[in-house]
Amino acid sequence: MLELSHLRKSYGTVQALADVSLTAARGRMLGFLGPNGAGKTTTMRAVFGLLRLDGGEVRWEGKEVGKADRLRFGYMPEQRGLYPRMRLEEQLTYIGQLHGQSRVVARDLSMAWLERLGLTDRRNDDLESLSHGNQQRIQLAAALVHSPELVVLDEPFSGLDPMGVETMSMILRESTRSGSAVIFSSHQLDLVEDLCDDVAIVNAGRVVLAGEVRALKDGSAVRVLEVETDAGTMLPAELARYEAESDGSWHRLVVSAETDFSGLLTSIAAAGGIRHLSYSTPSLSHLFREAVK
Amino acid sequence: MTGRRAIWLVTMRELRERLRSKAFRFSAALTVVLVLALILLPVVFDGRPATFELGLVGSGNEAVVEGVEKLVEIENGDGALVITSFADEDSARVSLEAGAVEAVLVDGSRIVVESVGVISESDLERMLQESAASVRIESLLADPESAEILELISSRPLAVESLTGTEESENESRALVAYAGLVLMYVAVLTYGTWTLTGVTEEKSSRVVEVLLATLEPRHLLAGKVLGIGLLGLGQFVFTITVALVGVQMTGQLDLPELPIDSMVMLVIWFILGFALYSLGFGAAGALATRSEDAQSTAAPFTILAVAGFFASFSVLGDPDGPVALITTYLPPTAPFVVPLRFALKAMPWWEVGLSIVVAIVSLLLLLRFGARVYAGGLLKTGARVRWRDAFSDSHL
Repeated sequence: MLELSHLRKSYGTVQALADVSLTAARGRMLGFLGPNGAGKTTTMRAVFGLLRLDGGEVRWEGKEVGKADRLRFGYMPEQRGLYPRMRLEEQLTYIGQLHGQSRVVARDLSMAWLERLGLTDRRNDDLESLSHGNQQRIQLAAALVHSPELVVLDEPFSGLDPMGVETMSMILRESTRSGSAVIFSSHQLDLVEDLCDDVAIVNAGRVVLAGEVRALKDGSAVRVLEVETDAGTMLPAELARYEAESDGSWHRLVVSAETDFSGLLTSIAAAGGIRHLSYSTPSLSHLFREAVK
Repeated sequence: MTGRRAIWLVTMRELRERLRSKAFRFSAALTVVLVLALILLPVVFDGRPATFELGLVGSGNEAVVEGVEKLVEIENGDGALVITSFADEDSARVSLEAGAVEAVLVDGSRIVVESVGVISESDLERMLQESAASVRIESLLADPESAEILELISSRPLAVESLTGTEESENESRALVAYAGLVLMYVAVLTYGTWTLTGVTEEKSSRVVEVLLATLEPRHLLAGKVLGIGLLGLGQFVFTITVALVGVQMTGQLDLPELPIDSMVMLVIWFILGFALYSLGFGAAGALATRSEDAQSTAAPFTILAVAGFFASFSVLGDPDGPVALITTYLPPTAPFVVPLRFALKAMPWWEVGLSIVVAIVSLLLLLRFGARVYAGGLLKTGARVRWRDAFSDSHL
């Protein structure tokens, strides 16, 4: 388990991390969310000792993280993060060696990854000759080549097409299943909601919301009601005050979790002409917007 | 992972990737071709006999011309003296200007040339002077033996010995070796220093450095890089020089002087020290730049120091015991250019050599610490150019 406790870091007068505490457990995937400049990248860099913290501690399996632990971590920085002009196989092998594997083992692992990604026949091509999606796949392979116990990825899904997203998701799920702790930052909240067991939301250098995705949603003080009615049908007046969004026939209502559900249903049924009705816990996007407001 | 293994991994990657790069192969091949051309071209041109075109005006030239003919025969076995007589000086001057003749002898008492040579007189001019001097001496003697006088004048009858007891030729070859070495070092420092510089900037701009530093200490990464590029540079130099020496041997072009072993050893030691000093500086400078365009300006202090060191060595050549020589011996940026030269010129006692090496090694270790710190501090700051002070104070080391 990775534990960050009360991380603080300032650059001059700019406070990048005011107080960041979070945990990431093995076998689980953590979505790390926050607006641009909230401190996501700084936090991830802190895990790898890439900056000098002003305060706080990074622990792995209960002990303060040192260089030896980091050999069992995998990191994919934002954008690139590999040599543009280095052959794929050579590049992955080098990264594997840097993480303590012998050259022979590192080469075998690299070849296995290239085969898995369907890039075996391009193993002697430079990274920069690959398409954007394939480059990102290789970067993922570089972060995972040594089967790390902790995987940290900064914006791994940005700029990927749906196929790329699918591959990336599948590989991250497998990594989690095999017992690694996986953390990734993203702005694609729906994706995070689908994929992650846990989330942590940072804003202005502080963790403002953290926990299991399902529990956070269940624990929310609101529920979302979506109603689609025939054209011309009006919602009852007592419901209109909950309305958050509407295009005339489609309505999104945000109601308190305490609200009597059967009473709501009765009023809506009375209006008639219902084509679609859903009642659910709020989406992650909703929680996110509330948290960083 | 031990530090040694970390450095080794980085070193091997540098060697492998750079040896593979087309740019390296091309520049290495081009260097060899240029060096061979420099050796072979003179052979091709030297094959042709020398020809001297002399113009004559007026009378009383015969005795001088006769002497020049003899000198041409003595000095250039297959050379030829082509003589053109002119009716008057004006037409001779026109011909001189057109380049048809090299010099014009007037009435056996004056020479007209197109311009006076800046560095030294031309061979023809010298032969004319020597011949004329011999004619004058003849006229002073009762029993002239013109051929002997001429030979005497054109020879250097005194053997030269220096205070240090070595013969002139050996001293010359020591200075030659040292100076050639300095020029090579200067070129190497700037060429391979630039490789280190741009290599570091590339790692920074591609963010790969974040992955590297997650597992490597910055000083190991910096040291491995400098070592890798250094080994490659040294290898390329040794290869090029070997090709040059073989070329020289095969053409029999130059009588290579006996190479003084101690000067060579001193040169190699300082080559390594100088190279390491400058490469560390260039590596740290590279970490401050975000794009390669900025790298040139962040590296400017080191480029300027290298140029200054190179020019300091000129001054040392003229005055190997002077105050400039003494000071620059103990300044790390200039010492690599100065010490081998002073040593070759026998202007340094052994304790001075030892002290200067100790100073250089100590500053190398300090620079490694300082450089690694700036390197670590600068590498993760993107956006604008990073200032030295910020990189140093904000480093996580």
